[in-house]
Amino acid sequence: MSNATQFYVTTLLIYGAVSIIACWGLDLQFGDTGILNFAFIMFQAAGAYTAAVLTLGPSTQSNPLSNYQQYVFGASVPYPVSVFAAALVGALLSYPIGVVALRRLRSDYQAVAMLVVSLIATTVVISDTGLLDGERGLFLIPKPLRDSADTLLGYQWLYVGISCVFLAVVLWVIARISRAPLGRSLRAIRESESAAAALGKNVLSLRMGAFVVGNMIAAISGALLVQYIGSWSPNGWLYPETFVYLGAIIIGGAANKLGVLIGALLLPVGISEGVRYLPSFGGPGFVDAVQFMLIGVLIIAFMWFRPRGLVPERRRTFGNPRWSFRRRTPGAGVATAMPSADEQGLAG
Amino acid sequence: MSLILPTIGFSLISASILALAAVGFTLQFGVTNILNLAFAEVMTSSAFVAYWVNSRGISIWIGMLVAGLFGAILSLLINRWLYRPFIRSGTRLFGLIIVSMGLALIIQNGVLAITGPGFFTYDQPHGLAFDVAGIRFTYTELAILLIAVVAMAAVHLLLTRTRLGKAMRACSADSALARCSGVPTARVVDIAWLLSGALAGIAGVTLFMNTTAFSVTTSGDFLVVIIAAAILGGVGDAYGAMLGALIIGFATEFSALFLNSAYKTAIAFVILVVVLLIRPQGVRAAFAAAREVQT
Amino acid sequence: MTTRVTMARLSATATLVALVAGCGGGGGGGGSSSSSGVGTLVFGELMPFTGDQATEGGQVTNGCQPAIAVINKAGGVLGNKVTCQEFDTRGDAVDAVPAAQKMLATTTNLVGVLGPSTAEAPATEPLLQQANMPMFSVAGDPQFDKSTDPYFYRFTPADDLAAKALALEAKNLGYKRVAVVFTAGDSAQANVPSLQAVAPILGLQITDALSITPNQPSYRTEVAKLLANHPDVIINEGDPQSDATFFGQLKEAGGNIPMVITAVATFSDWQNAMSTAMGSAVLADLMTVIDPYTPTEGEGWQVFNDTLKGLHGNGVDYKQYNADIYSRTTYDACIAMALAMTASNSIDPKTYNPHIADILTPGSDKTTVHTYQEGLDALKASKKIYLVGAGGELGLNQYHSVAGAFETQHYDPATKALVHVGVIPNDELKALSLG
Repeated sequence: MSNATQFYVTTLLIYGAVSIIACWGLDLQFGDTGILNFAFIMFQAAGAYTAAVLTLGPSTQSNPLSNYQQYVFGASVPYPVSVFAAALVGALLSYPIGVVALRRLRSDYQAVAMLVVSLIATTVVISDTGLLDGERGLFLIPKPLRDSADTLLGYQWLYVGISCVFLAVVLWVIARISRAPLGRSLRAIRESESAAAALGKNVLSLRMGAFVVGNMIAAISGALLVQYIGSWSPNGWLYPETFVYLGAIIIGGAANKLGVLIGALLLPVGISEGVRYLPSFGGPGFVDAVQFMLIGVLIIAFMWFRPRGLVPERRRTFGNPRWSFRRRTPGAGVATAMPSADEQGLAG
Repeated sequence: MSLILPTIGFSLISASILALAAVGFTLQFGVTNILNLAFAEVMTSSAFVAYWVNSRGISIWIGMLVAGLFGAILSLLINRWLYRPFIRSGTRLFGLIIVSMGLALIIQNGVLAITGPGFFTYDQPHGLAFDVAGIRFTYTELAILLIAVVAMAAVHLLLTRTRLGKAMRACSADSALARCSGVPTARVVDIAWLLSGALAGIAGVTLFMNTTAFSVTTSGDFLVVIIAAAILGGVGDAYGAMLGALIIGFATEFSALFLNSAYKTAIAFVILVVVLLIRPQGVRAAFAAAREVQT
Repeated sequence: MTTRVTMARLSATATLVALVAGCGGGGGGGGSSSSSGVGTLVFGELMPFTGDQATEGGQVTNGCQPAIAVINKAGGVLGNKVTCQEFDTRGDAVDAVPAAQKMLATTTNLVGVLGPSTAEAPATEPLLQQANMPMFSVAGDPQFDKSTDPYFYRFTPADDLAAKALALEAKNLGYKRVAVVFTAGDSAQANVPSLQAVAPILGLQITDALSITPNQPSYRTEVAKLLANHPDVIINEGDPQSDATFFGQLKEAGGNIPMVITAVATFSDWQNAMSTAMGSAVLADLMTVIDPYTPTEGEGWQVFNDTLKGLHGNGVDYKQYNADIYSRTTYDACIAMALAMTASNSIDPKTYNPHIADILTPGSDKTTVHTYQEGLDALKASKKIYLVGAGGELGLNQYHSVAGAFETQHYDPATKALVHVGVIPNDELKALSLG
């Protein structure tokens, strides 16, 4: 494999890992708990900006990295403190938003409130250029542990390794949550908030917990991405990006880690990278328009033929060991984890 | 400050365009409970139909009627051919949002493939201006204001004076109960989509007339503002949407006057968040808990 | 929903699986050192072709296409045909990085890059440098003013120079009170601080510095606010829709104020939108356009012009781009690369890259050439050459950047095109330097 091919492959691997991490974080909120977080991309951005300003160094004349850009809170913290700080900021940002959105609003209002928060954030970052360098964005963001590899190609593979470590840690965390009693409580809330509350579950704090952890994971994915590409601007986190992640989860199979993984590789990447290989024809912009139409058609087709995703959520049954190889028999008289058609919607 | 009076006038114009769209959005959402992200694309495609009519040398006002008709039919077909089958096969709120996202991509880029990128303009009357109470309004602006007032009055009469309107309100408030009481919900849903599409078409044309130049993304940029206006008033409530449109119209124009113009829409969104904090069901809180989707 | 749904922000595909499966040895040589008979050589256009900045991709395409036509007509480069290939960055860094990597990995015989653009340059320039790939960027950002990357070239003037030209023209026209109106984002960020810095030097008073939210249904309030401060002139850059809405409403509000507009006004989309909004006569009356300038004359430009005319259609737009500075300098970049390859007898960028700057620098011992064919003939006769192409004398500095002069233009309603009025030479702008 030539060097250039290795660069491409490593880039795809890193992007793939970031996508999977982000989708798992969103799925903890959406698939497991039933929170529709339309501001998800903002938390990824918050993580990215945090990691960026904490590694660019102080915003002073003497710092060559900050010469052509303006930002606040500049510092040079060692790796991976920048990533932890990103996660922390993701968590801190979650609280006020969670208190507003999760506490009292019905779920579709919640979704719109979050969408609006995401747009407010974009407007503030673009308009207040002194904050995070506006629409031009931050750049020259240092690559962590760059000295550990002799060549840039070696570093690419090192970063693939770093990404895999984060992937493993995040998987461990969400698998723990999912398997623990906590996971059952979250799913209970998803199925029926009032029933869960009646059973003595503190619905608000449980939902808040899933919201915060999911957003911390989003922030980590952002930090991972920004320290690889080295620049970050509002065009990278416009609100429709959240829909792409959400589409990936639904196509893959909400509340199923493997399904979400496949969806994360398939939609944000696979399909759209795939259509890049279409031959060129028609007038300017015609192929691009056809590409996006094709993506729309594929989303609808997936929804029609695999409405519960490529790998649907497992039926969790009493006395059925989680990793059993026993063939699952649909409708075997056990409680299904996926809500029935009537329950799944806005049932309140 | 002498600019306050004119700004009230400008706020009303902005609110007019927004009200047409928001009422259309909310009528459909209220009855069906489908968060239709493709709403803006119905506006876009209808307004481009008006462009096609207009470019044949026909008056833009005729074009607007054609756009309303096209929007109504397109909306109905979208429900019949897309949402209804999905709902019958068991797809619910979240899934439908994703379906509507896919549809939005298809329509927007379908229009893009036909028209090509770039900006378009209607052949519309320019230069005619009227002084109303010392504020200079253009002919187009006054026409938009008039259209909005007439449309809102028509919606009001429909909802209060006709059996159909009462049925729609019943479905919005509680569709199961409405069905039990003998309301033909399927037909009401069809009418809701038709009406919503017609308003979307008209709103699309008024928006494009007011911006002068437009492209396939013009109304997409406007979608969240529409949804915000609808939610602000309490989804499903046509009067709420009108009120929401007014609040947002005033908020955007007055923030441009007293604050920074760059924060114009952000201020409107902040107001939405604050209102939701104080009154979680919207300004007019008649419509309470969330409900099931309707075919 | 907008088309800016950047679906491809993350990557992994069926190709990825195939690539990983085929990944055994690692390492291996990528660059080819042979010179002829290797197949078609590719100029990669690493630019936005979708999204808000898609017009920039169009400018580059309209430079590359005539260039390869001319080169191939003259027998190609060292016996190889050349072609252009688009790699869509979608106007943001997150999408640009995989696009650049894909270009570098999957393009056999990639010999040079046209791009990257402003939004993606900081993220992709290091990647291209690492791959020893000459790049001809259109990024006017200040951090590239003194780039030490030997593979980086910029044939268009820096952003702050453009802002100075706008202010200088406002002063030359005799105005004192200036309102500055830019759409929030890149436009405002690149121009407003420079304008505010240079205004006092020129004795201009800024009455309003509005950064407006783009694509709003109405700007009536902003317009009223601006008029209340009675400016003599408005300096502006905006997209066609926002500007048409803003200036249309300005006119309806009774404000016929002269305008000084940036290069956005060179696009027919913008002109059409604005002439509908204001009326073409009013537009002709009030508008002065400031655009990076080199004269549209000379043999080099003539060949570019004729070739572009012949290619018109299918993405090539003769009327729009025959005078476009970005298209012309992109064309020159391709010709310069082709001649550099010929001069060094190599298609390996590492070998031929030093010849690019040499070909673009004048010298007493050099033969001036205007076209690819002239260059080939001179090189065959073992002469040293200096290329003056479609963009005229570029005058690269030590950072591979051009100094840049500007022209003033007016709108002619009869031909629906801009007409050249005057020139703002680079020296006058340099004199405005702040330190």
